[in-house]
Amino acid sequence: MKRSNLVPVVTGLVSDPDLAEVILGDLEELHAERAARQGHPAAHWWLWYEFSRSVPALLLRRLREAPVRILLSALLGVLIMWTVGVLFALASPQTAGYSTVFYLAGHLVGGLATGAAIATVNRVAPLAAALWVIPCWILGAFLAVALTAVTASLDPASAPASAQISLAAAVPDLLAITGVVVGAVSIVVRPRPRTAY
Amino acid sequence: MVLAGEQLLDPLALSLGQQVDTGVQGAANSVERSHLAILVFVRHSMTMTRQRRTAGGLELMSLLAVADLGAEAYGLSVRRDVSRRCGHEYSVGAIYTTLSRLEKKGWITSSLTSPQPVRGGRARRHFQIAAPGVRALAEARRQSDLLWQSGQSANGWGRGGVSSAGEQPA
Repeated sequence: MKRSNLVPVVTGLVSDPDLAEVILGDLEELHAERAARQGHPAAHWWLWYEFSRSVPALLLRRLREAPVRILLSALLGVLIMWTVGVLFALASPQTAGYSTVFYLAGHLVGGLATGAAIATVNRVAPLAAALWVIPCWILGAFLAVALTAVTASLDPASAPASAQISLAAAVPDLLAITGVVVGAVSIVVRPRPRTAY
Repeated sequence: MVLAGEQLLDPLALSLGQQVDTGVQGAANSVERSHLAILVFVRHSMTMTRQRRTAGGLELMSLLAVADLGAEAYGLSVRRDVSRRCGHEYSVGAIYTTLSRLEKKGWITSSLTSPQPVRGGRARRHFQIAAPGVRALAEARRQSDLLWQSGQSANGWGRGGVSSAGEQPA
């Protein structure tokens, strides 16, 4: 990812433009120090690593600032993702291979649509709003697993015979999460049309 | 809102406590006891929330860094100072989130400098400790001193009095 993309990404995470400028200035200063010691390629990767370490703190800060708005956005995002997934499942042919492909594609497209939609709807800190969909989605996935386990324990006859927890089962969710990040970042870093004065 | 909640909780807790004390037996009694425990827990949480005017770990270290650095206190210098004190390098976002919280509490103030070439033409935000911040530091020190003076702490913990086997000092 280009270093110039850091500006819209940081601006998309915090509501206060002054704070975004100060954070970017600090990162730039750290980058200059690191580049003088280890060279530009190492400093480039280190800059993105340092930025990614800051993301959780900035997300929590945004949640404290506007909890209702963030949670409503996240719920809307989960709803969009779920709807797209259901539409893909309905459109999927019943052949075994194709249904899996449609299932995975539904999660990826759902994630992309969700990230883009939430980042577009929120004008203040759009990236933070979109990224909060991810914890909500993960929480929903855990609740679904817990609900399945409770249902199975109450009525063993209705439990699926091959139910087991595996990493492969998390692949669709990982695709959805990747989709949300890519969708939101692509909206935030897209070139804006210039306003003629 | 917190006060209103406490005002509501107090008579409720009192009435449930009285029901328990009057000797209602069996399952109903245990249910009431569990309700009482929940109410006590909620009230304790509310009290703890109200008492968050004292500085937490990172807040205290950042406040101390701002006080020590004086005119040189800005995001990166505070981060370096905090990292030196605690041996853990906090992220830029975590430091600014903490400094913003301190500013919101009125413990520090900030001002922007002119743009600087080393920062890609961006300004620095310098922080200064305010009078409430000085009082908060003094209060934190007083609480820490009280903690060390009380009970077993006075017997030598923290003064190199613990043996390698972890035995309590005499």
